[in-house]
Amino acid sequence: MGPSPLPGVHIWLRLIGYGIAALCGVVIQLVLMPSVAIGGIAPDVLLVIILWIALRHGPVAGALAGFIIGLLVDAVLPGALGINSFAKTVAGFVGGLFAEPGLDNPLTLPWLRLSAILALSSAVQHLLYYALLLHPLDVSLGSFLLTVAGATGYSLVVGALIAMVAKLWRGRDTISEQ
Amino acid sequence: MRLQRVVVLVLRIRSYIVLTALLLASLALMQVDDAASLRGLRALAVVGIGVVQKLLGGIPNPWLLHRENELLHRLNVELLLEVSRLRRMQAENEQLRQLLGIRAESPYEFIAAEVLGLTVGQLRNYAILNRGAADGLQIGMPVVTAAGLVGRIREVSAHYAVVELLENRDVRVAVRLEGSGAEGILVWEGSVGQFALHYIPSSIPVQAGQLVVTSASSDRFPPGIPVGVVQRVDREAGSGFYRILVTPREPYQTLRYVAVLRHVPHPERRLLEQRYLSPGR
Repeated sequence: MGPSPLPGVHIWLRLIGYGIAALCGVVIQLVLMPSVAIGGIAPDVLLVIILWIALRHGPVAGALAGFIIGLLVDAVLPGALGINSFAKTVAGFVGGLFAEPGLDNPLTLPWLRLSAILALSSAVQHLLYYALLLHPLDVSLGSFLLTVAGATGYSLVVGALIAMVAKLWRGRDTISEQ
Repeated sequence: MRLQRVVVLVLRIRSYIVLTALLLASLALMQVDDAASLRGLRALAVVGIGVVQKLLGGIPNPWLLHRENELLHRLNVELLLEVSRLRRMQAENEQLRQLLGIRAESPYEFIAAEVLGLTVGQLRNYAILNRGAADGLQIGMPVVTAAGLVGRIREVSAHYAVVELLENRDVRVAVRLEGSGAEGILVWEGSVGQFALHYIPSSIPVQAGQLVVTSASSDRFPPGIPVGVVQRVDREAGSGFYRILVTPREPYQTLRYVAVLRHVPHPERRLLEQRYLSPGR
């Protein structure tokens, strides 16, 4: 067994890990998710990464993660800068409000609670995103709410699937370590 | 002391301060949105995304495929309708051209009319025209197409007319076989697109393909208008006459435009014909 990493090094490694995860997430979001879009609505896998950070480190980290990841998406996608960063900042902050002290693995949270947090953050993000993106004159309130509900539901389903796969994966690792 | 209190307060609400700062930064970015400085980055991202999407292009999206399928189906139906419309227009065009040809060939004045509706497959078949007495139509006027005689005006109102088609059990037409000149009576016996030609003696040579035209022996129709073509010739045992099957040169079901000839049978001659020359008398 090697020496445990120094606290400072540990933080940097974690930040680099988050950075790589965010970059991979952005690529997946922009390349793969349009292929599974239904009616022009694609699920948001970046929210899973933002929530992971938010639930582990609290609302400030969640808001920062949301801001940076949103800014990355904004920088790459054509359109107004700041829309994604705004929506994801709030979503990360809301997710972070449910963080528990010492919670290293958010997947250990009960499914219902985890799903509720995911649904709430997703709803907040999509509500803000579509409110900023869609022009009030171009879309009716019913259509707007339907779009938000569709995007929230789809992101929730995909997020839950990712969490389920991650939980199974980590469970397998735990068994093999034992 | 006051500073300490402020610091405590700031620490207590620091998460909200950070949130506000980030949101303000986002709003500021929305206002600035300096696209020019991001153009290079975005172009690079688009190229990267394009390359990856090309590599992953084989991954099907059932939703998109379904939607594409729906659109193609709709397009297919629209194109079929368009083709059908164009075919109809082409047929109309052809018939109108042929009607123009009648004007050049026919010694009679005529009134072009559109067929608004017609019956087929009944014992007495009629067609409705969009021309009437106001256009000069009169009862008894022959109705023709470029293919030949189709009937005569049976009723007229101010703006519409009813045509009694030759496919009518009540109609008898005095006809002549072109070539031989043999005269007979054309009768419709109920089969769509088939007439029987009676009273042609079996001593006269008749063959399939011979043209049947209206005869001068009756004033009901002008002479020489094609009525149909001999399809089959059979000898009727013991009668001394042929049993001849005649088909019209154009099926009546496809009638769209017709010409009404300005020819009215002379009432005096009609009366005499009816009295002395009617078949079965």
